[in-house]
Amino acid sequence: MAADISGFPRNIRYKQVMIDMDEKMNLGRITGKDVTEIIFRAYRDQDIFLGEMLIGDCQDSDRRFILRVINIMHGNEASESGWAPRTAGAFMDGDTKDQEYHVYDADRRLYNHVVCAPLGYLIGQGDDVQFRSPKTIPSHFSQVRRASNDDYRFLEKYLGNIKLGSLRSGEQIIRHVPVGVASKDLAQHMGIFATTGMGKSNLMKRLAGSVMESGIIGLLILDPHGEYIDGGKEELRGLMHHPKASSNLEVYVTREVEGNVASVKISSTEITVQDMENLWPFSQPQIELLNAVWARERENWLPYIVDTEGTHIYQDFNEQFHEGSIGVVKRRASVLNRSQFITRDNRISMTKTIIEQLHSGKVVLVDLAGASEKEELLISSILARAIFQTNQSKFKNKKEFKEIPTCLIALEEAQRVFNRAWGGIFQQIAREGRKFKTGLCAISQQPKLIDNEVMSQFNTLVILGLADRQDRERLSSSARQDISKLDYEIQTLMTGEGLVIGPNTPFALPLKIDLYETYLKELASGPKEDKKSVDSDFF
Amino acid sequence: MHDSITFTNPYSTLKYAPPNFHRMLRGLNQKELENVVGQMVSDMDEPQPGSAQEKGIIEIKGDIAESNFQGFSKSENAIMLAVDGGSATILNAGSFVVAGMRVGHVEFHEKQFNSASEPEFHLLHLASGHLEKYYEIFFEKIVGGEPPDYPKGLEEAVGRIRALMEWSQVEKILYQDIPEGVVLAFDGAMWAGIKGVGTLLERIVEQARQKKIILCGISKKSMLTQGSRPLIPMVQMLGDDVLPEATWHYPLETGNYSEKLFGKIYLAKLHSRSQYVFRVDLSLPDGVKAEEAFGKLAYYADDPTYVGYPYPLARVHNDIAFSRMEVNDLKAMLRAEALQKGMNPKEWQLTFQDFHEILDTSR
Repeated sequence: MAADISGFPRNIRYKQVMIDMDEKMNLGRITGKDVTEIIFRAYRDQDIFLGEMLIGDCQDSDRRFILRVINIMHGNEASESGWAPRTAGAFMDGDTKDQEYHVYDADRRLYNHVVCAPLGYLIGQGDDVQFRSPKTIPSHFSQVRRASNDDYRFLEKYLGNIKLGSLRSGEQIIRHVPVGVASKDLAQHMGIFATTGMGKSNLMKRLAGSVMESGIIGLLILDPHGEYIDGGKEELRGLMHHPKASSNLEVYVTREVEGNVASVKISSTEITVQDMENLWPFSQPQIELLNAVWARERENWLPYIVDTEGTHIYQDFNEQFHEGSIGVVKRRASVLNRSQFITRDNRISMTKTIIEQLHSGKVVLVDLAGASEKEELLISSILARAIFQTNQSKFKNKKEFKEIPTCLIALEEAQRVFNRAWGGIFQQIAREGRKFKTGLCAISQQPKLIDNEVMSQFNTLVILGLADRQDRERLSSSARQDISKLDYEIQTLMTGEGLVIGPNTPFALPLKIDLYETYLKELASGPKEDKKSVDSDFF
Repeated sequence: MHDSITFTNPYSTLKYAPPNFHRMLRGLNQKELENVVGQMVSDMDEPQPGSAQEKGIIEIKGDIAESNFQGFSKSENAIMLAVDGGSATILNAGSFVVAGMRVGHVEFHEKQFNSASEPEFHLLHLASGHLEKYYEIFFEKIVGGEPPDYPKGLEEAVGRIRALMEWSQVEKILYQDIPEGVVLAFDGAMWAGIKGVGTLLERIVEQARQKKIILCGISKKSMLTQGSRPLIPMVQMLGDDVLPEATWHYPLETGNYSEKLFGKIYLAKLHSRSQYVFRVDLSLPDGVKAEEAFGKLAYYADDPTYVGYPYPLARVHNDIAFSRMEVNDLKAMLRAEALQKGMNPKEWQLTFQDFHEILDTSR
């Protein structure tokens, strides 16, 4: 049986600790330090994890301080420096000489320093509990313990009504405290950021699942990789496997897919010269030519450029544009014209139908796996613009506008369009969408490439594991909550673990995202939730 | 313009002087330095017989023999009680001191701390005028009867009272219900260094023998000698050659100290990797061999911080000793109480101020 430093068999000691924890939940006592950081001394063999939320009970008041663990260090009572390395040296010497050593009174001489970020404090109990930001500190030597169910009650109003998973405290999942995003905040845009493999796709599927259940918003998912419809792999489930898929999911595809799906089709009249500008870099004369054609031909601008001889265009515009510029514009317009997803029959376009579906609280999945990157960006832009402009026009009629839900447009690889703050429909939605119930859900694994101004528009952030320091810094500088102390935690988040930061969350809420496949199983076996009443089951 | 300063090095023959030696040794006659080093070296090479025997200095008989080294094995388990005392001068006014004295014990079972006694703590105002009275009280209470002599100064008084308190603690433990075979260890030797204390030690040794308790004194600093040379380094060097990487003990033959010595003296290495060999005074119950006692001591001598020293003794020492913080707290408490009772703050300041503190904190 393996023995620990003090000679106790590990499993026996661990059991003892668990018993103590259950009885007292006492982890240690506060030793310092200020309003930005609290340090406490913890029993050496308590399991405490980075990101864990603990409670410091102020000894001189009824304040309960919520502390998030941001670092854990070894401590010892030896007054001399270098004691620990010397002791380790003795153990190592013993290892080589087959000689045993034993640290007596280990619980007294060894301990852990736990560094915490104070998240705020609670006053009052039960339903009267109030959360306050951390403007003071707990009294000296206040006791620190694990949070109880009552401590989590204050979070009830901050947890969001579109469930994504459960509250997480370090490695512990608090199943009875669901965490999600608030539908009322989604018109103020949302960002989902994670390194590859950290669970972005699962998160999106879980988000879509909640929307299908509640119908509280319209969600447009633009899927360039074709991974959402059926999960992409045999062992995974997709949106089509959701029990509400038949009624609340609409799918448009750019490739052969079995099932109740429609083909992606847009009308050439829906394409603007701005879309062209977003797809290719153009010189100033070329842009001027495009604008001149648009001014004259309006929605017929693309067929005009494609169908009209270059020399005729040259003459139509009084020889104002160089033949070379005309040639470049014609060549690129022909690329769009050749796309199988673009039709000149404006009665065939799916755009209007999609907007209606979104307005009825459905999830619309546009599978773009069969499209080229340029087609994908073009289709995404056209759909986004159509939604934005439709909602914008409905805004003029207050009654009509009130009846439509927020439309959230989920865009993968968002850094491709958000590397600059101006010049495209997505940038425009980022700036103006909140007023017209049009939100963006930008998904990216490289937030550092997203323009700062755009980033500051994302009022809800779901941050999963991010390995790149620059990515974390970009998020830290634009998040609504101070997450600068959570840098290491973000770096060490495991797959499916995340933080939710919303405009109204008291602090970055640690989250364990439901595995979509497990969520589907639970849906199949558990009681069904009422439409638009997610909150009622939260506690 | 200043004249350039030239510095002649009077210690140019010193091979191992530190880099700042010329500043450090300023004013010291080089001959004295050489004499000190030479004396140490020659004493080591050629022991000088007949060093003056002062109180506590024990000269052993005979030569150190390789055959006397005895190896032993660590016990599988043991119960140990460890006693220690501590004292500190809390206030020193020159003509009197306020001293704190504290004794206590801890109990360990199978490597785990089991319990600690409530310490016995005395805070005494000791002045030349009433030293004898205080000493009489302690002596009478602990040993019984009147003391045959008295301490000659404040420092000696503190030392004697503390030693009596330690012995008293040992005796009290022996009258408690403790199982046979327990090791009762204390700091120091079984040596009646205080006149008249022999009767107390006799009682203790007899009580331990009757209850089959292994009585054991371990000295952190030994005054054992062979000739004028300290004994332990000599034995340790030989022991490391005879029984390398092993635990061993070496029984010593001493002169006739029957009135003062109440146990058998050994030198012992309690952990094979220890760099320390300790003097161990043992009083063993009938039928218990020294190997068993040493095995039990070695059982507790494997803490990596205190390798070769039984941990319970280290623990009780750390528990009982006065830390600087405690002394300061006691000082502050006494001041507050004195001022409460009408003492003038300035009088307090002038009575206890010590310019050494200024010098020490301004170096």
